[in-house]
Amino acid sequence: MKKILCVPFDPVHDVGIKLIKNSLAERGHCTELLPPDLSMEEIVKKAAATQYDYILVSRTLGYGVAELLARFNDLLDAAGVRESTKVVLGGKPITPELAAELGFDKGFGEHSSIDEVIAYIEDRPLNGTADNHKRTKPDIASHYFYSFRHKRIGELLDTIAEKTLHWAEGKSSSGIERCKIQEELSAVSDPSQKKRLTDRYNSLCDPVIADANSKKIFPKGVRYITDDEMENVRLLIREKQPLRQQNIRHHSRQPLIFKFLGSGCPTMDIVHAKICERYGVNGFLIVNPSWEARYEGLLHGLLTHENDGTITSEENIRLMRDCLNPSTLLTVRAHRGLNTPEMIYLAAKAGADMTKINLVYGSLGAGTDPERLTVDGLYAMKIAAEHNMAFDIPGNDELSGVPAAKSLAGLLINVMLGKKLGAKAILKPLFCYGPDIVLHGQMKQNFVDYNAAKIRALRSIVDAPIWPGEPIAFMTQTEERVQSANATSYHAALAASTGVDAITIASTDEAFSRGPITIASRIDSIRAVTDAFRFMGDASFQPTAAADNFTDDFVRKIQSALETVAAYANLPEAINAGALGSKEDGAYPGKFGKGTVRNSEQQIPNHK
Amino acid sequence: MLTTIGIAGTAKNTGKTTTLNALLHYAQSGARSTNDAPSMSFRAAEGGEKSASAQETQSGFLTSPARSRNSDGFGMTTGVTSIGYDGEEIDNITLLPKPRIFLNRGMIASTSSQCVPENGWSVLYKTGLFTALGEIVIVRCETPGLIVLAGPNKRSELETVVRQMADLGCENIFVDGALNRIAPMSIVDKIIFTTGAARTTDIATLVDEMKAIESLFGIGRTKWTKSILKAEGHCEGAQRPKQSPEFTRKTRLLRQTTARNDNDLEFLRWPPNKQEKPPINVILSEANLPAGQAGNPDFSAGNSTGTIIDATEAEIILQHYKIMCYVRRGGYPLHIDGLITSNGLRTLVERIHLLPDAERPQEIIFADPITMLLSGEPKTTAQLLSHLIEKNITISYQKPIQLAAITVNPFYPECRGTTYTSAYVDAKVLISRMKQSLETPTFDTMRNEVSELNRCIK
Repeated sequence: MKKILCVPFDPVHDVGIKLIKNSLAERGHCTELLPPDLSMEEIVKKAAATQYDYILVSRTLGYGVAELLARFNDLLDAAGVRESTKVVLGGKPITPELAAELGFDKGFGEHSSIDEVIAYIEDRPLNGTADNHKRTKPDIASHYFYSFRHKRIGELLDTIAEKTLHWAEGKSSSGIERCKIQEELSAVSDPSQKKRLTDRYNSLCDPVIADANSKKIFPKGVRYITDDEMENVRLLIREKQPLRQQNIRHHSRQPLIFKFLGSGCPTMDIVHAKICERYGVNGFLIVNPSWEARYEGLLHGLLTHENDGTITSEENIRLMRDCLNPSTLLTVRAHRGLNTPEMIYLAAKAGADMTKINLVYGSLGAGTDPERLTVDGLYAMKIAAEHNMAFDIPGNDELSGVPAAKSLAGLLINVMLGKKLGAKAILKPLFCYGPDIVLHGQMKQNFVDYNAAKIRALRSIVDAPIWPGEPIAFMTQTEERVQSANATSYHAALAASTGVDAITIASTDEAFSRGPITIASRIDSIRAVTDAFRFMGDASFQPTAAADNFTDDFVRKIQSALETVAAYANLPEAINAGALGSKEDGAYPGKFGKGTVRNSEQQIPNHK
Repeated sequence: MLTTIGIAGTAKNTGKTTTLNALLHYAQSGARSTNDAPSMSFRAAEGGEKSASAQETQSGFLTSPARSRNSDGFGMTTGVTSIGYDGEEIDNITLLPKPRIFLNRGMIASTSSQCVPENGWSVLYKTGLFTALGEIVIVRCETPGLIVLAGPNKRSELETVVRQMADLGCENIFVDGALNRIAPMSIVDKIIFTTGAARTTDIATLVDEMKAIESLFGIGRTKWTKSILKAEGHCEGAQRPKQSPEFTRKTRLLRQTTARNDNDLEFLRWPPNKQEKPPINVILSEANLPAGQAGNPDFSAGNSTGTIIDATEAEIILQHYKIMCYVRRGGYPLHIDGLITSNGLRTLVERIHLLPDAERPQEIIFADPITMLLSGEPKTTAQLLSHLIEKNITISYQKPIQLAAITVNPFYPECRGTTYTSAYVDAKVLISRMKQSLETPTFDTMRNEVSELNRCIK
């Protein structure tokens, strides 16, 4: 049992020390709380008169307070009290450095818990439930069976998937070839063999990529990360111990929180990620430069890029993975573009946890040619399955103007294809105010019903994880940061209320940053969501009756879209014909890689 | 011979670390080569003008024969520590840039384990003492570089660590202060006081305050004789076997006995040329309490951890003193060890003024100038003490400390809303007024006067 004198130096902000006093008393310590109106000399007199083990002082900082606290310590020291009594300072802005500077034996600040204070006083390590530093890596897809609850839709999806897999049999592309070369390269050590494979790889790349990899002539704005930059990152990770990690989620049933990384500069991404981790973000999605989707071949090496999107080379992914906490999830997107299989293979090799594939959205919105993306995407799903990587399917075609039901139908096709190839898919319906909604007024009454109906509809169709994105609140945010944070937090609260598995949130300046987004803006939305989750707890939104109508409407329209797609010979044909988003909707089949699919000996693996 | 030099300030941002850097730079230049005589601006950590003479460096306090004596050949003569947190890039409170601390190879520092850079420093000793930033370790600089100092921040621990640094070969130990904190400085031999616009931008007030501080340090200087040092070694050395005599201090007052045996007679020599009578210490215990005070938990006998002498205690001390004088038949010096508050001092002065001449103590011995400074506003304290001197009472310290120099800094952090910005008062006016009013050598923190500063602490 310790004898403890609690000194509220600040008569107003004394809640903390009262809580600590009560907790200490509950644990059997002898505590005494001084009244708040004593002079410094009176407090010292009191402290000197009895043998206390600890004197706990609480005080917020303000003008001249540091000097006041310093003098208090001086008086205790000169009176001889400090030879046998430890003096501890607590208050919102107190850091260990400040406590040392002011001469206190220990300091506890905003991020310290009462358990930490008690552990210090009892001279024991922090243990048990109080220690929330240790986190385990969550697995979003592990609890789902991918069984189709809606019989007819399940049948339609089966038909579409079978037709598509059958169509893709015997087809290959340079994207698949490069992926295979990468697999071979990782297995050989002989330099001449490596050279042969590398030459072959470069021959399958667009000249701009081949030149960069072979002659180190990089596209404009691309360069290697310097040794100094690497050293700084290492120092940052090693020397800057994060403060006690916070949780965004009030309880574990609330969704995991993801953020984008993609400043172009991996080291800047890491700095942002470390700060976000500390604020409780559970995972990150690396957003790559748009040109990575358009060129055949990927750049290799630790590369930085003075433009939007971070280059997803194996080395960059590995660096980011190594710098993140082991429990933090990392997703590498590969859902559109000419390098989908290779990107997923390299991401798996570099330790990424998840990836992103959407054959439909990746083929629309001026993306990749549907045939090419289908052939590549199916191979990519196989790679994902081999490496036990779940893939998420972003429904961002809705932003091109595609009606939500068609977008959701597209997601479901990917789920069924993944299921047949052994890969676990994660549905990513948008929580957005998209063009179709603006035009047709589904959100005229509120933003709750329509978004909630998407989740209800998907749940009624399939048993699969749901992760609204991407990010949530798309098109509802403005340049004003408070508004933007609010919009994100309301959508996050709705997501939590619907029981989804994860959400992606944007920073408050994401849409308006005119360059790399800022740390402060990232924290804005994280803190807003944290508060929303705390506010909601186990409570939930009560959508109006309109949500039921929207749900029925979604299911009916999804079925109708899938009936249309199933009538075509295969998925690419359906996409090209506008069955999952027409030119009238604003969706245009992509042209990159058109005509590059060819027959090969390589069989696209059939379903399990 | 070990010399401990403290650098204390009247406030944060008065130039403590800048002054330390100037001294360190001088030491480092001296350590490199006696021909490359050092000089620097306080402002620049890496100066290098050659203005001080080689002779000066050779005989300077920082040039110690220990360099050649030490087996490691690094010249382990200079040690440095801080009672706060110094050398950080950005101030913890104002967020303004701060002076960094650069040490040369062979120099010794004590700091918290969390502040020791990964490379370039070897840990010589783990002290088993802790700050908010981990265990205090004594390290030696192997590769010249920057370090953040967060050393022992309480008096007893500073004393221990300084002793340990001395055992590891340090002959000059600099102790950097923190904000306005001074209590641990009562263990140093010499002190440099820093003041400046960060304390107040009113120059007249600054000068007045520094004059009062100077006068408090000056008390009893003439009576500072070797006999007291000799006596001190004798008093408490046995309880602290690791401490060498020059670092032992008498224990904290008032729990000292009133009965002394013959072995204490050595102590009675002090002050010299006076009657050889022991100073009277008073135990504050229940037995001493005035009627009605017994049972007050503030005075629970034998359970107290320290002493602070406020008005009530001052009265008790005087009552007791009178009884003791009566019992022993004669006037004895009164020994007031420990912290006395302004109220305590005022009560003491008032009561003594009321006493008939024969019952007044002829001498009062206070703990040390640092503890005296903690009494309250230096000006008030100095005035109160002057009232005692008026009555022909000799005032002195059990542990005098030499005020070696004063440095004055025109800089202050100006608060603008929620941020601070650098600002300056008129440096010329500030320094000239200070120099006019003070007897102690006074220097401009921002000017190149380091060799003169070093001369002051020889």
